[in-house]
Amino acid sequence: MIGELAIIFIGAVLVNNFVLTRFLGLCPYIGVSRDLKAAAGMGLAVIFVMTIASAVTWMIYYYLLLPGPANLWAGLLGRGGDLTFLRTLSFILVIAALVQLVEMALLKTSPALYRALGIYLPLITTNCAILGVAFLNIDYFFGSAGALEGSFTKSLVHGFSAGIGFTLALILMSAIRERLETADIPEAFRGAPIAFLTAALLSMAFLGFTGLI
Amino acid sequence: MSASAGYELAITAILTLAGLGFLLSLVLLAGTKIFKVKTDPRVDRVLDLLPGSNCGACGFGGCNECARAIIEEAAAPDVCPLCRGEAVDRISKIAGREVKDTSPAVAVVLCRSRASAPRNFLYRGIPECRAAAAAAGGETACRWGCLRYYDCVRSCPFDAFEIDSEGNPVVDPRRCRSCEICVRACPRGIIKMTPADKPVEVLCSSRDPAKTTARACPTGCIACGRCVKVCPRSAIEVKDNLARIDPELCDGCGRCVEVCPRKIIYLQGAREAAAAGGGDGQK
Repeated sequence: MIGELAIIFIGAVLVNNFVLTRFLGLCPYIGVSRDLKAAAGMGLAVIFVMTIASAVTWMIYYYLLLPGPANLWAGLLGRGGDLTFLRTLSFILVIAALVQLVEMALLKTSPALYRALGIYLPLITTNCAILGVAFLNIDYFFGSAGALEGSFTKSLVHGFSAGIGFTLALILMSAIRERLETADIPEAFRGAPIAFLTAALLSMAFLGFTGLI
Repeated sequence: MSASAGYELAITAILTLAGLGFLLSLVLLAGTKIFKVKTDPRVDRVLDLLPGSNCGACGFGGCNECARAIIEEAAAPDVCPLCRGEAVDRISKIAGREVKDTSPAVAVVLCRSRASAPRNFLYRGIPECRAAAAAAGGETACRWGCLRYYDCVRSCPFDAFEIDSEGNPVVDPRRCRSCEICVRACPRGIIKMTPADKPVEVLCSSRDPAKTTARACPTGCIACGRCVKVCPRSAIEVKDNLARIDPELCDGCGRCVEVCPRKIIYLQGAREAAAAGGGDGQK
């Protein structure tokens, strides 16, 4: 189990990095990578939300949408239909509400952390990487016969490591971009173009991890 | 799939989503009650007075942070560059602190010419000052004069410009929010920030010698120096062929306004009245 989890971790951070290999969450990647401090804050918020979203969407999928013995409707009505087609809708709903709740709780319990995460916490409600991790959890950890063994833990670890991978990419990018600020760049490449080129080069570098697992 | 099974599926789907929505709204409602944070009510009152545009010009992350900083005495009540006058007074009253009297800067277009001012040629290009200034140095005979294609007027996010009867753009100081966007928009660089309470202003930018200026514009400063002589507080000096008034020394007596042969020194108030009343605010 530990070995499997380690492979999931390495896989999500390096091999299938959400930003650099899967191209998910590109808007914050370009938008918030201008300085290191903001990037770290954003990364922290994403790790946090991805982990929680993994747990909650797993529960929604397992207990409400997927037909089987654990299905809530099967328990109530005797039989439950296959509601997996609702996953996009219900996941977005749940993630949005969840982030709101987390935001309120943070404001109450830890104003310092709330302020550190700042505007990024509500922003990532609509981040495609969050929804992406929820879907990938289902693709990976649910077989045709229902949930695979230990799928809840695996989902959690996958969500957490996807967040770590996102943060890694974001911090690398922002560190490079901070240096680019003072570099002598041809005028036509200044701003977004050089950022895209840098992102492409970073992405190619991460291609080197392909054979790792 | 039989018809009844499809029916059942639709019902459960609707129930699932409706139930989820209902449940989540309950959870959020409970959340607002449980995690209710008691904030200083003064923060909200200050927040009401702030512009709410979250522009970040104060150096804080949005108006909310700014209001908190003001109440927590981490920032001066007048830290917001968009707030002024009454709003600052009320904010400092709420925060219980005095604000030192700083006069905000407002933009002034330092040119007040006539529609009939001489031109070197007729410009028929893109109607923008930037383009007009690039075409053979601009059509106005005075190379310091306003081109009157109103880049400044269009650039102003607060709609603070009026255009007087002679076609001059004039800033209404009450509406100017000191953003300096028009200063950057003017290709001739003749819009300057000046203290809002500066009583008297010379509305000309020409650094050319008197002869050139006199030929190029009926209302250009010819550096005759009469204002310098008449000023009882020696607040005026002529430098680079242009009379300038030191706002620190000027008390607004208005003698220079009367004596100026070109009638381009304006008292505060008259500047704007000229815009409203038709370019002849001197009388």
